[in-house]
Amino acid sequence: MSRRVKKSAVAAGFLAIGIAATGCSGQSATEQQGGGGDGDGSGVTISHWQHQSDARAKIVQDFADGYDDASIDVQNIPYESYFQKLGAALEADTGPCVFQLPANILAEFHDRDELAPVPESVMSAEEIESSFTPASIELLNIDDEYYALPTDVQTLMLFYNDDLFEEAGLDPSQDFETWDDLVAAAEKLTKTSGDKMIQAGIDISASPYQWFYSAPTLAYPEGLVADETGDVEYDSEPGYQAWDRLTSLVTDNAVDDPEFLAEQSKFGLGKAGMTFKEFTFTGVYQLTAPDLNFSVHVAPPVTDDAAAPVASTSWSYAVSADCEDQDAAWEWVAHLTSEESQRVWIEGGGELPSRTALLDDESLQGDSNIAAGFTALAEAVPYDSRGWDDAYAIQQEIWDEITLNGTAVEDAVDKGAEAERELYRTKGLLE
Amino acid sequence: MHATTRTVDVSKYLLLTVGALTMLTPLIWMVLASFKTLPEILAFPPTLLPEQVNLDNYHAVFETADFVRYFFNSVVIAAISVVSVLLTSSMAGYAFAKFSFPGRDALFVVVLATLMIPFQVRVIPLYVLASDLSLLNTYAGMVLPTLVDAFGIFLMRQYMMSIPSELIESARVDGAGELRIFVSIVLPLAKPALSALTIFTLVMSWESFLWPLLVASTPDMYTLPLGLAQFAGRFLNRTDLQMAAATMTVVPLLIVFLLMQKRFIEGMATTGMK
Amino acid sequence: MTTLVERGERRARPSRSLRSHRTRWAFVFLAPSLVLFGLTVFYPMARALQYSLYHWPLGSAKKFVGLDNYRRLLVDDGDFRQSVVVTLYFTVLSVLPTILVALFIAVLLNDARLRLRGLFRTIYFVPVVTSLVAVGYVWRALLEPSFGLVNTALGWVGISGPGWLASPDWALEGIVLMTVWRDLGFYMVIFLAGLQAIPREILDAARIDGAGPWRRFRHVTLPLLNPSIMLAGVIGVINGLQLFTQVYVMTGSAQQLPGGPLSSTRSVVIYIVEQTFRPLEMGYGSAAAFLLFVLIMIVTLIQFRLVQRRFEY
Repeated sequence: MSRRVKKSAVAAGFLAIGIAATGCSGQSATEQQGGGGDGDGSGVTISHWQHQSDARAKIVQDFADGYDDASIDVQNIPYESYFQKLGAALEADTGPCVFQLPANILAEFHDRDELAPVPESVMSAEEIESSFTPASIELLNIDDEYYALPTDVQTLMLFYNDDLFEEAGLDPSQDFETWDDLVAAAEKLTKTSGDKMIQAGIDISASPYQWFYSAPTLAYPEGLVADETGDVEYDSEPGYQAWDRLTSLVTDNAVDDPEFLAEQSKFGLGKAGMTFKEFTFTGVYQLTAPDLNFSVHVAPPVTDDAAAPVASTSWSYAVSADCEDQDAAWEWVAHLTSEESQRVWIEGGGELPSRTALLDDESLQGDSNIAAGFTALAEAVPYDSRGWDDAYAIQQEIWDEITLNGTAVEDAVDKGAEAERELYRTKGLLE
Repeated sequence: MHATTRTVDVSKYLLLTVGALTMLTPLIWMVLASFKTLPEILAFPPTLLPEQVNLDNYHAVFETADFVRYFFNSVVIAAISVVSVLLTSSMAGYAFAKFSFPGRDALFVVVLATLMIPFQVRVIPLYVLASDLSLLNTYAGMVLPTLVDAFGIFLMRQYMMSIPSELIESARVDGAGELRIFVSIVLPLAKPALSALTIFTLVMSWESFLWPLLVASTPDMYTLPLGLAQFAGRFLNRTDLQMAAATMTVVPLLIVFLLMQKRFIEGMATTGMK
Repeated sequence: MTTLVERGERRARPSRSLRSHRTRWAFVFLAPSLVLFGLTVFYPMARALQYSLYHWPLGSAKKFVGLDNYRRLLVDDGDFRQSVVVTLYFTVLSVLPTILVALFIAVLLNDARLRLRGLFRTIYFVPVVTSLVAVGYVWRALLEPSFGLVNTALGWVGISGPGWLASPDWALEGIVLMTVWRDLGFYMVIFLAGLQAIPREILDAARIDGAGPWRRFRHVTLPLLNPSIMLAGVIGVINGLQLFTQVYVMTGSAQQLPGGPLSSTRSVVIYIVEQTFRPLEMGYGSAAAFLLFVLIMIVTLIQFRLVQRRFEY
């Protein structure tokens, strides 16, 4: 390159810095655009964001079309881009009135002063507590106020391929009593040809998170995060045991192999005896694998002396603190989570009700798989990590370190727990 | 001698054909998958041909989403981007190629340096800006980041440097104004480069996802890639519908490319020149 | 010596008034681009530079931290360092083979006697104009270790294929494979254009002097093609260092975060996005982005340097 060009590059650098310096002063004043505006009839328009799902999009749009008290502007955002869109909107104050958040990071958004509490006039705390299951609302209560109403409650369940169970001489109608029983069955269900796996006992390596969310959460009486300290505690017994047993499925018991049908749904393809998934996968398998003959069960406790049998994850509908018509927005959310609406949700596919009253309604439980999901929900405790994808990344790394890198369980878990603490500190949730 | 040439020829065709098939396989798979049912697509080992050709996926795509509208939006946005990029790039390229002015080379380096900034970094400030300018959910907002393109300026500059300066000078001597020279002499000569740039801008605009997603807030402003993303859920990807939608997204672009490809190659001719 | 930035034509020095007239017109032609760059690139960049000096949670109170984000990235952050290594490794691994294969195909196609030349050219270019999301999905299936087409084909010639995207040792190579496929046509077109600009007479003269095909290629074609190769190299490196989309579509899904397994495909841009949109905080990611910008600048300058030394003629 010639000398002049080098000079030019240096000059360009200075120019860029110059422009940058002038740009910094331009702090913009943004206007609120939370909601409001003129809708049809009622005069109130509520913007509503949720992440995309076939069934949910249809159901919510139908509700919106039939809703008379406000005009609802529903936007379905692809899941993988949901937080990008939300982040940009937060910075520009162009966010929606109503939006979906994972229940376990509601506190983080509360800390950012983004949330409006459920007003007494719409639903009092007592009303909320008597209407919804404990697992679905536990994380929505911050400093004695509720900041969201629950949706998309999912229990994490064990799925059997009934045909493969029978073929291996196992009884698909029975729950496993202990972890050892499950491992023994998984070993029976595993098939190899030469040194290659041709059937996995359990489909776990492509999507292990359901289990590493569930097992450490169930291992401690207060869940993944201790109530008092706000700190994770899975870098201790029985957390180590949970991680050890789960990763052993791949490293010791060899009932799954990450390179066998990598990233494919082994269970959906009929190439795995079991899998551990959100309840909604009953609907997913019906659609993607119509010939699959499966049943849904509560998994045996992974650790000795587990504190609860079933873990759940859930989302919630929150209302923005910047929303101009908060009451109208809350009325809409209350409508979406009402008993009548939840009946529609259940029929629409794969959703579990969060209303206690519906759990006892036997007319909704015609199918034994649905009945199993309902029963589990009543005793579920929520996965309560204070992070969402960021915490997930840390826990996935623990899994990968152990299963792919051969790192000792305790070392990987210690490192992960420390990373999760650091994450909480960055978020200002932990000293 | 003759026999060797033959062997060389045969191996050449063989090589090119195997290569071409490799290049086409993913596309063929996409089109064939668009006729398959979801369980068929997810089957392992994968099959190539659909059990039966049915258009159910295409029907379903049109039922769940207003693809005609998305297509229209994509066309509008691509058209604005293409016109703007062609105009800004040819003007700036002309200035860099045929004018000498103080700071020219430094400025050109600054322009090229913009290629080195990942879009993900400026997306949030840009979004806040679009919101301040009340451009959210408008076509003007959707095209904002694709109105100007450093690569386009580079391409046009390279091409225009091959236009003889005598042509421009003699027009000046004849009393033609600068704008007239640009419009009636320079632009017509730059047609091949403009064709090449059209294709690149079109591909860029047609594919862009993150920005339209942020800016569009009602489905009537969605573009094709946003429509495509509607079939991806957290627990279930409707790959069957995605492939049908992807086929419909890709095919128009292919047609435009086939129509323009001759000019396109000529337009690239000067990219590597001094 | 050729560079991207080369002096324009110099003519007899015009008078001063004519010069300022010309300068004015030059800026008239530049104005639309400069205004738009200012609005859509420089202003957002300046804001990002500002973010990088803060702890800046989206939508809430920011805190000035000076250069601390940079310090943490450079001193404490092993993940960032690893992402830089991944990115550099990917760039070398993808740019070199793409250029070599594209050059090879361009030379094959540059034969006027070749039949179906236009068809081949079109086919090799087609991946450039396809949707990455769609082909990303297809490539995941092609690279599946136990039944995927790539390993099946390797099996035919007696090679037991690796785990590709499922293996930390091979995932990046899988992404490289897809990138070569996708970008090949673009470079091929650049090389074809360059080849067609080489005057026949020079090659004929070399033939008469008794130079065989390889010597003609090595000593005539290649040096004359140098500007095109340089261009391809620079574009390839700039794109390679900004690796994002391929990783995003091939290693990520709603069930799995992109960049795995074990961070083996986590490029700098993936890391930036991760650091920004998961905790919804702008400062740290912006600082990382500026470090990436500097890295790209340095690598590009080194490229100019190397090419200058190697090909001065």
